[in-house]
Amino acid sequence: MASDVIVETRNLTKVYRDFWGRRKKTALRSLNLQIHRGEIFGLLGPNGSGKTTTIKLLLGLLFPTEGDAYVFGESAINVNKNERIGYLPEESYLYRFLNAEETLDFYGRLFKIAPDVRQKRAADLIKKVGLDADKKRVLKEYSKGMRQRIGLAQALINDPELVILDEPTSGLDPIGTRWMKDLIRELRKEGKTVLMCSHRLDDVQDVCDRIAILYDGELQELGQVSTLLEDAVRLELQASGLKLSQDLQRELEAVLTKHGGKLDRIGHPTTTLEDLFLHIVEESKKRPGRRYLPPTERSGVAAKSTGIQTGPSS
Amino acid sequence: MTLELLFASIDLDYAPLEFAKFSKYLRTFVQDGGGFSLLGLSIWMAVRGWRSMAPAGANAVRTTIPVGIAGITLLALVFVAAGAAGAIFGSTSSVKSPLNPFEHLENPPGAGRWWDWCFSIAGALALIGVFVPFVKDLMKLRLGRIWALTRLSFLESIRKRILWVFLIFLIPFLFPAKWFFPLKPEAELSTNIDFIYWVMTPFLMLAAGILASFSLPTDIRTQTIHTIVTKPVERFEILIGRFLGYQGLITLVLLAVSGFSWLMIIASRVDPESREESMKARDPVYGELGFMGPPGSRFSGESVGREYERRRYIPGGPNNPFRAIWYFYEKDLRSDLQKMPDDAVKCEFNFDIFRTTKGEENKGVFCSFFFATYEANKDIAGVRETYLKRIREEKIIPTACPDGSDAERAHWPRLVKLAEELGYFEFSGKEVFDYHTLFVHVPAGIFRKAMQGKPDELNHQERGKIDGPRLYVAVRCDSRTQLLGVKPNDLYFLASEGNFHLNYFKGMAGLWLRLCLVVGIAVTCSTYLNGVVSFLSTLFLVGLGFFRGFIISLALIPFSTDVANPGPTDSLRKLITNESLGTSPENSPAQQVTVAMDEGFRWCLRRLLNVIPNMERLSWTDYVASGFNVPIEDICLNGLMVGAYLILWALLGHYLIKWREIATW
Repeated sequence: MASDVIVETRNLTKVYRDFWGRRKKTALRSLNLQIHRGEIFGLLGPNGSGKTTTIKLLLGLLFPTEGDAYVFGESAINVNKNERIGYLPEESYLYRFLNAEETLDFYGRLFKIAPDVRQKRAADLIKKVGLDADKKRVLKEYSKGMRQRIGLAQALINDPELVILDEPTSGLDPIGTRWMKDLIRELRKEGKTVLMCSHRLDDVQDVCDRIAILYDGELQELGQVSTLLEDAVRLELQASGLKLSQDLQRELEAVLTKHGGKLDRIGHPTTTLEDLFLHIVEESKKRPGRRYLPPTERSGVAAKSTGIQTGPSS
Repeated sequence: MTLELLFASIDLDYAPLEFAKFSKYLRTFVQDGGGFSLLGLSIWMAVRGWRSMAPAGANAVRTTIPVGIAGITLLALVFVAAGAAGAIFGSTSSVKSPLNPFEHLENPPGAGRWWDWCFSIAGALALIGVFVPFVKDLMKLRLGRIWALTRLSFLESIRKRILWVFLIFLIPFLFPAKWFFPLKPEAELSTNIDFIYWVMTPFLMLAAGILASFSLPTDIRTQTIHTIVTKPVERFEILIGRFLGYQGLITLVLLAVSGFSWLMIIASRVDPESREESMKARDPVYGELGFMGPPGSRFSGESVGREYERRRYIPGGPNNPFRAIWYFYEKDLRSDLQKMPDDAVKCEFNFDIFRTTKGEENKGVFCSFFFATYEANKDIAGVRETYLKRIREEKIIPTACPDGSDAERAHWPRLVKLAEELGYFEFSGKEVFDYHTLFVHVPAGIFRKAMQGKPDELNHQERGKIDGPRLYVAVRCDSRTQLLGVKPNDLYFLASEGNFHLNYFKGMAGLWLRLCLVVGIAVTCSTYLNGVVSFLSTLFLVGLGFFRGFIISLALIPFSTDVANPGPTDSLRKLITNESLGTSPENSPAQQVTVAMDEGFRWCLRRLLNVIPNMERLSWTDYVASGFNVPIEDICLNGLMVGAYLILWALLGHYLIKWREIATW
């Protein structure tokens, strides 16, 4: 296996059986994939497609029925590999009778980390995930978003090389979702490899370098996000400083016809709902108070008054 | 002056364990533990073999059978086969069980024969087969991680507050028991101690069982365990952490509760008689009991028809030939008995009186005690005559004692000297009351004399060829028409008295060991079963452990067609054929089949006995309540046995959690 391959599966198959050994469901069929150092890899698929099973197999929570799974070149059932892995489960399954500090201290003690390093790292992570003010509260008092944050902190307590995130944005509000996505990008900047699975396609599209799409336990597609999403038979043109008019549309159609093409659509681009929401929240923080105006009171330039860009966020 | 004590006699279901019998215990462990290990190895090999026959492409690594393990298992099976052949064909007598089932377990027929060695070797091989991979895995454990998991279990138990619920209910019962049921003043302390132990046992065992049974299944159900096993944690560390966490907490609770109850006991105003009786830690020296009747008779004590009474009775009357005799061997007679203060050794006794006539009102029965060394016993009539003559001639008070009147005290050294010279001493006319502990002073000189020379060898029923007893103590009932009931522990020499307070906490060792068993079994069960099933399994096993004696008697009924109802299958046959259940069976083919099936059933029961923890043995309450020192040797050996039993459970737990998939779909 090449040294920059962090995760590799070879014909990885998982069949779930009942107590008597009878076959109940084939969750994964001959999965072959490689994840390279420093990339953000996304596993996509509908419910029951085998995403979580793959992650559980890589973590040694399940044993393969056939085939092999390797992480850092070691068998997935080898415990030692976990020294370099951080795992955030779909729901943050932590001990609710512990507070944030105790939680990180407990998980930190499971690694070979010197006590002073462990304490410093725990304090830093609590700050990083924004729970400094709530670090003495037991986790059962936390909201779902807060639990997800402390869950991510425990996944990072060992400063892992590979971070495995199972539905990291599940149950998070848009602010939490954005925060999580930013953090994932930050992890990439730090040189870490991230494997995440999600069925929220926009999240995966936003952060992943490569993706694998699973359906019914089988690999359907694998590749760079940008390559997979590229529509080679269509052309996109973006311009600024222009107003849409019938003349402009006619002239554009003439040029396109001359080159053998056809104008499908012309108009102003829209922003994403996520951007709109985050912008409103930011504005509300700056200027508290009601901002919504009924249509009768609204001027025709509502969009302009919000100051939201109606183009790419760049 | 003699102070009358009460009830200071201890009735033990199980004789204390002795280091001298360690090889026997080891043999039992190797054969029983090895037997189950071999069964486990055989099943594992069969499953792996079956999986390796799966179609090509199957995960080859996980279905390989290591050659070493396979070789060991096959070799062990060969030894088992040889042992079984030897046991079946080597000696037909070995199939028969002796009348006493406990004796059968202690000294099984065929022990020490070549086939027994085959079983031992097979067991040892199987133990090697399962322990070698286990020990290899143990090398990967790290104390830091175990400590973290132990702390987690500890915190979990405290913060989930299950234990506190039990404690709140327990606390009222720790106050002296007289607030809720009437007590005899003289039995106040012993009843209090008995009750405190009795009430603490179910409360703490239930709390420990619930804590240990539900935690791991809850972790698996709520998936909190996923965040642990995806760290560099060996799965067995989770088990150890759980065990240590719960056991640590329960130990602290036990200490706190014991300390509280001890404070209640020492702070309460206890009846002086009761204090004198129970607030002690006697260190007794016991002998073996036998009986003597008229010459030529095989008198072994009479039964007076008391069903649950272990005592045998000797008829009373002056100069009658019936005696209860205690034999003291060299191993029993500790050297400190020869050097007691005032040269006086207390011989305490506690007999039952069975009256065939009313006797004199407010009077006990009168007994005579005869102490003779093995030398004196050779010509006991002559020596006694000389002793009585010297007493008369030298005008020694025959009942002299070191704590009596001035005259009695003055005569005591002369009596000691005479007893040492002749190797003989007697105390006549001692008034004995029903179930009251009394004592006579015995000159220490007689012990010094008894330890001189070498007695003739004899063929002991259990121990084979050994030196004969060095000291004989014979008791005669002098009152006509009365019978004196005795059992082995009814008479003993008091070697020393220990500290009651320390003894009180030593008594808790039994409960602590019981809690170890509960936590260990529950944690192991919870690796594979859900919380409720795990708790019920633990309850079932531990519960059976309290009826082990009864199961032993069921499992070891002598295999014989003479028994009216050999077992359940034969009972069923009798129901179908409309035979009376109490009739002696005729030797029909159907009956032979059912009897053989019942023997198979008892074989299964005997195997079940090896799984059931011996909870009955793990109680030293009687010692503490009756004012006897808890033998430290017994505590240590029982601790060792509990450890050996738990290590097999740990082994099972290790493999169960190692091979199970933590996640489900």
